[in-house]
Amino acid sequence: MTYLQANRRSYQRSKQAITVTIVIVVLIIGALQLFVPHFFSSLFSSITRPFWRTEFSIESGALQSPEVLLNENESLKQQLIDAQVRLDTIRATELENVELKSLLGRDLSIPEITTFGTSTSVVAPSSTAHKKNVSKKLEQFTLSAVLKRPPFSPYDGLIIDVGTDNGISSSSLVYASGDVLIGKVVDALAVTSKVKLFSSPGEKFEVLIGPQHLPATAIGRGGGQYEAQVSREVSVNEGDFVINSSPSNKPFGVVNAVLQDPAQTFITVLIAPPVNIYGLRWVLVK
Amino acid sequence: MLKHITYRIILDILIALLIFYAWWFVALPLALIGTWRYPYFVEIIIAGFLYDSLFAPIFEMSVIGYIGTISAIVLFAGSILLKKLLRK
Repeated sequence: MTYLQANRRSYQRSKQAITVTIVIVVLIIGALQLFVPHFFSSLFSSITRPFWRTEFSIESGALQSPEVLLNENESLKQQLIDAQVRLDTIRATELENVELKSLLGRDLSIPEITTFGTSTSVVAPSSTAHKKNVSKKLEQFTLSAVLKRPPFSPYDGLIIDVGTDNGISSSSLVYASGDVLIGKVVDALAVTSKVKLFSSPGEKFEVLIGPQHLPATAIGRGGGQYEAQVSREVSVNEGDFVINSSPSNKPFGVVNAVLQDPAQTFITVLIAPPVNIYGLRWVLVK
Repeated sequence: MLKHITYRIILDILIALLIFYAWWFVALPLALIGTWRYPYFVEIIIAGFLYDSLFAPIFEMSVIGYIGTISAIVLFAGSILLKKLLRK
């Protein structure tokens, strides 16, 4: 009987010790989270980054044979040359546009649609000048691999492989290919960053819809989708282009669907970005 | 006993790897199996915290930024209560 009582006492003592330990651990974690909010995030991201990089490399075809990679390289080079030619044509049209505006007495200092940043210079469509301009633009950006993207995260964000070590800060803007603004860095860690997409639920963005440039507020629905409401009186069609309501007029998305309810005085426009968020592999950070 | 611990460690590693790759929809059923199979499976809370630390933006100091941790605590406490009720 005495033996059993001693055992119970020791059991209770160890139970108390475990409880005290748990409380201390929870308090330490809580204090760290409160006073050094990036501590655990940075620690775990540093541990996880090699796993994410490996996954990215495998997805990028690192395990393919050299022959396949060489062929792909050749094909991409050819595509780049084709794109260069198309871009030169667009540049020529832009230059013509500027010349026509100058003939009509319009101010030439309106920012160009395709220009990165707020540069107001007009670029001649010559190949050398164009290449210089492109490299100058790229210098302003940091190319980053997308390590994690929706739909795996319930937070509807991206994890990119550049951080404060690469000069990234919270509030840096994130662009997809084609100069499409898709989000901003909300949490810059040492070697990775968390990006909040503008399409996250509840995020609001001023846009202009269609050829008539109808002003509207696009509200994020998650997964790269937006919705906006406009008056029934106006005409909005599927496939209409949507641009940012800013002087730079950067592409924002395309009208995906138009929902009409006879009982409502407005129509709901669903907007999808021109790039597939689920397929994003590289982004530019400014 | 050793076999028991070995299986538990394997399950922990598997859950951690799935969390690294953000496969929460696979990690969750495994964590539930763990809570049912093993006593005081606190690893589920660690997994939830790990998930939030990796993927939730810090600026969200509201409940939204701690979905993983809160869900894990609820599941952990729920499993203990459920086991007590069923094994009475």
